[in-house]
Amino acid sequence: MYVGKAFEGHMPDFDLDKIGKILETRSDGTYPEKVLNLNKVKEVATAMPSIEFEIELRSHTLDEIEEEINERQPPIAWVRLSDSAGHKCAHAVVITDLDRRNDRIYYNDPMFGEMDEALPSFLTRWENEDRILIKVKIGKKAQRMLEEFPKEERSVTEQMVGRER
Amino acid sequence: MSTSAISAVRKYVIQHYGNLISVDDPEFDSTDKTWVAELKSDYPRIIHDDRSPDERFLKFLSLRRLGTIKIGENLEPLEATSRETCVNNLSCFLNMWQERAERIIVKASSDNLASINEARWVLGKIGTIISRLKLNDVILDSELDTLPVKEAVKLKRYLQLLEGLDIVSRKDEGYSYGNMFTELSLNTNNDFEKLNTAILSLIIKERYSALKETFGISQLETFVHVDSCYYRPALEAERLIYWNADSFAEHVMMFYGNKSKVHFRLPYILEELVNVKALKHEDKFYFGNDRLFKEMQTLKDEMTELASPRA
Repeated sequence: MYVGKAFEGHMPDFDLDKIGKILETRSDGTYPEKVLNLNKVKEVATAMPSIEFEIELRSHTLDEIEEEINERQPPIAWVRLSDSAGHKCAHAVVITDLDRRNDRIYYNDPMFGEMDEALPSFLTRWENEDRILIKVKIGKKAQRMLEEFPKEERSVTEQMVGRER
Repeated sequence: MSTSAISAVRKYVIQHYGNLISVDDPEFDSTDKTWVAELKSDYPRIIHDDRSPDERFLKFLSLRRLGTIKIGENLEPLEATSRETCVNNLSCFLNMWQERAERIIVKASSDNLASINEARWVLGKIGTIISRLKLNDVILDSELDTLPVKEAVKLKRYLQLLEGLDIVSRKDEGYSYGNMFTELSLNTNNDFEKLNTAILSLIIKERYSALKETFGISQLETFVHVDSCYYRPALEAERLIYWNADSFAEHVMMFYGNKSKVHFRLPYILEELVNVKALKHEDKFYFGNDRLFKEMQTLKDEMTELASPRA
């Protein structure tokens, strides 16, 4: 939805139940690798601009976050959430910006909204969840619309007619 | 539970993945009418002890969620994670263990690492801030502005790092001491050296990754690598092991390659680690600090399974 609005494209309008079903989400959350299930869903595969999710189950670096941000591809990070009673769990946030000069990181948190945090504390929370990063590739794949095909056909026909003349 | 479904997935695993991968009992998914089973591995680790070189013991690392197998109601295979993906996941989870072990080792040994000469030297700005706060209770922005720009910028970054740990707290006109500063001052009887070590220890324990990645401080890394080369297998063995200097060199080479500068500096690094009591040295053997090792074991027990968590 957000991407669709931001890029004036056509994005799937899924409700939370549907997303939860695709991602096989349970009451205790979603496994990061299950985000790849979205790539197989028709509405996501045909979205305009294109949107694809990439995950490698390895530890990532801050430089990788920076690269994604510089390419305007907001990645999803798994971070540790904990309270004063010692409860802890993993929590996913979408990173929207990084300011290395002032050591700040900006992200959209599904629980707390738009947030910014000091980079050192964010790094600790990210590291505690094994530095998992899901790369979201927006507009990287050429998507074709149905209207293009008659146009293409027309131009081929026109060329052929031109050649005959 | 259908025993034929169990046999079917087990047979599939042996035929397609070899003997290092095993499988959980399948669960029936009534919506799809399929049996789904998770692939796992008890990955063998061979550990040796130089006190009794002939004795090599075998321990297993439990790795879960390497992939899934789906079979139909009639037990026909429908979908399965490829062998290549499975091996790749296994390798990722082994790396994950190596990194988690390193974090455990840093957390448990932070007091010792904070006493290493190079750590104290490279984090000298922290000492400057502590003594300033002890003297005046406050570091004013106007004071920082009188310093050369580069120096002021560095100090401000360190002050922000300390603010995140509640060692300093931001006031209108500058920085004053925070609750953690007061607590550590009391614990160390206001002794500057002890307070400096306690604060450096807290920074290493809580912000080791930030020191490396945002402050560019890599001097501690070689000490942590050598320490990890020893404690990781010890954690796998669940007991202290005894190594001679050659075994250390062999393991450093194995993990970091022969081009690693750690290799050349190894005798010095070992000496420093013994000096700060992160390791012990008796006769010709090096071995772990029992108190630190117990703490590492507690941290290891608190660790979640070796697989990426749900969020």
